[in-house]
Amino acid sequence: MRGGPTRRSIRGVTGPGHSDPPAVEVVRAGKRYGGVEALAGVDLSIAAGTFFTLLGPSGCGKTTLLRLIAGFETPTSGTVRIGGVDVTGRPPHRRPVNTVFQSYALFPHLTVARNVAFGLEMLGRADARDRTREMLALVRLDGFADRRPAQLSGGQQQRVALARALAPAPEVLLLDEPLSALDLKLRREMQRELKRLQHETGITFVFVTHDQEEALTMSDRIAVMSGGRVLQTGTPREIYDAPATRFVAGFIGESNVIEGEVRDGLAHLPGGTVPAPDGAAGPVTLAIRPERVTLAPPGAPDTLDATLAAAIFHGADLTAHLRLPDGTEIAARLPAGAEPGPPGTAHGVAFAPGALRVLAE
Amino acid sequence: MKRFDPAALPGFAWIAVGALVLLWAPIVTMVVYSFNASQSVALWGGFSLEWYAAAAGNAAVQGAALRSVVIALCAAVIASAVATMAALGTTRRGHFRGRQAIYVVINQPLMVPEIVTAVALLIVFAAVKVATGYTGLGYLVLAHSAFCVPFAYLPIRARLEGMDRSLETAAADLYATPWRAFRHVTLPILAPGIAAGAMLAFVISLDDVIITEFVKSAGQDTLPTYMLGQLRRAVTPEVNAISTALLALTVALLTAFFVLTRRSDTKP
Repeated sequence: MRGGPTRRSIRGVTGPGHSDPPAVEVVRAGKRYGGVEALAGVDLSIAAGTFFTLLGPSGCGKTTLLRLIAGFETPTSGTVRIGGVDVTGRPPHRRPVNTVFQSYALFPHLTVARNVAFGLEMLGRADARDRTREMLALVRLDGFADRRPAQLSGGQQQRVALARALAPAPEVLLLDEPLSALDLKLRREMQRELKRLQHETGITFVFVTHDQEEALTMSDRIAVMSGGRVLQTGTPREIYDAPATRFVAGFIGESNVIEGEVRDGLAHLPGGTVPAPDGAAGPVTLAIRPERVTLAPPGAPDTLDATLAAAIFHGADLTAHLRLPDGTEIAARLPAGAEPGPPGTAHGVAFAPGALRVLAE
Repeated sequence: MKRFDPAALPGFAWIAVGALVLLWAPIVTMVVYSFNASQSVALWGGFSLEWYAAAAGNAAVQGAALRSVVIALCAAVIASAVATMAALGTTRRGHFRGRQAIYVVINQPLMVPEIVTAVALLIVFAAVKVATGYTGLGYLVLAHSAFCVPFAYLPIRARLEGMDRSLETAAADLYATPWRAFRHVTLPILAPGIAAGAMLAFVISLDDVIITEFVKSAGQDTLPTYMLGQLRRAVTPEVNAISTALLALTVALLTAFFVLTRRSDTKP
């Protein structure tokens, strides 16, 4: 096994003066298919040893970006570097990266062991046999070496695909929505498995998904993409707590969005004023998560006047849907024991200190 | 909603039975009479294998059979190699202008009447024979290879189109050069399709009369043209025996063809 703890010393950020080059560096990468712009000048830097996720809805360019890194596509403009080396024009078989495909793409005519050994054999590695056994043990498929892929379940095929891609010890492992074909229970299990493998091998993982919950639970860092651009890059906590744009706020978890104006340190919103977030001025769009919203008596200071539209019980908690005087709806996640009363009840809506975020459009 | 069902029409069963009898009764008759002990092709004289023995011992039959097999083997190998390249060229480079036209060009032997091709080959090969002085089996091999290409092409293309494109991408990702990806992934997965194409080509070549009749030089009879020549003189049950043997070989090859084209293993 390569790497070790030094490869994952820094969480995400590779600042100036740091000696290791980023595992992957994409500079102003653009990709057009005919008249369609799939990627519009993307910049990305992925530190060695991180679990990095490209998150976005389908058609946002995340898979195209992954294919540029793998070398299956060449960018129309821009540069791709792996471990500091420019690989923009290099074919995939000469790049130190391996891919776990969405369809697994296991070779149907080869046994599990020969599938896992494929990359090692192409590299002419003398230790192919031992390394294959080691990899099958790593993904817990020791007894399956002589089976054909068609004889395995979906989850087992997934693990063969992982072992095959990890066997050559690539500098970067690319994963293209590898869990999307699995059912929920198996997906949870594989999420933990992937985290474990990334931790044990120290290899940089670049993971593509459209599932925001998956991205939040697994990643060291996330890049949220939409329309061929990276909208925001950060740790899961940063992305969740401080979404930069309305799209990110809406795509990651639930968010309340309120329009208003900031004057004299106060945010003037429909139904009242609350302390403004730092640095805000003039007309603003603000976002706040439902779990950072609480109820207060009507007319209490620093609250907004609202009436209850509906209260929905979820078991562990309860969501109160409140309506501000201008019709804006605000969702508040309350403890299961809360009793907001019947629809129409007047409430004050209070925000946890510092939880309001200013969104860029 | 009720669908139109021809099987419910009056007389359907009778027409079906009649068609099947017309298709199979002559063949059954021929097979039965190949075991006839009598000289006649019409009167039953008891069971015997003498016509098989006679055919097998006939030097002309032996020569024609050997020639047929040599030509069919060469044609099958050449046609399936050419068809494999054609299939790779037409399925592995995305959509391009003129692809439909290329299908038409490749499938020419399925569309142009065989007698036209035969006359054309006769004229061209006559000129080549005069110019080079070569009169060997090469002309028959070339002609058979050419008209066998579309038969080999169809199962190979079907196999390629059923193959997951990401397999080749995965091979490239795992450090295989384009040639090694072809050698270690595409070709082995394609192999049953190529074998099926080669068998179909073999059967088609074995069976050919028209083009062979026009292209062959003196003393280059294949089994079908030898039989045609025999029929012009006197019909003996020997021809029945040869036909039955050909039928058995064809059935065996076509069975293998259908087993190979059941593509259960193109995907994991």
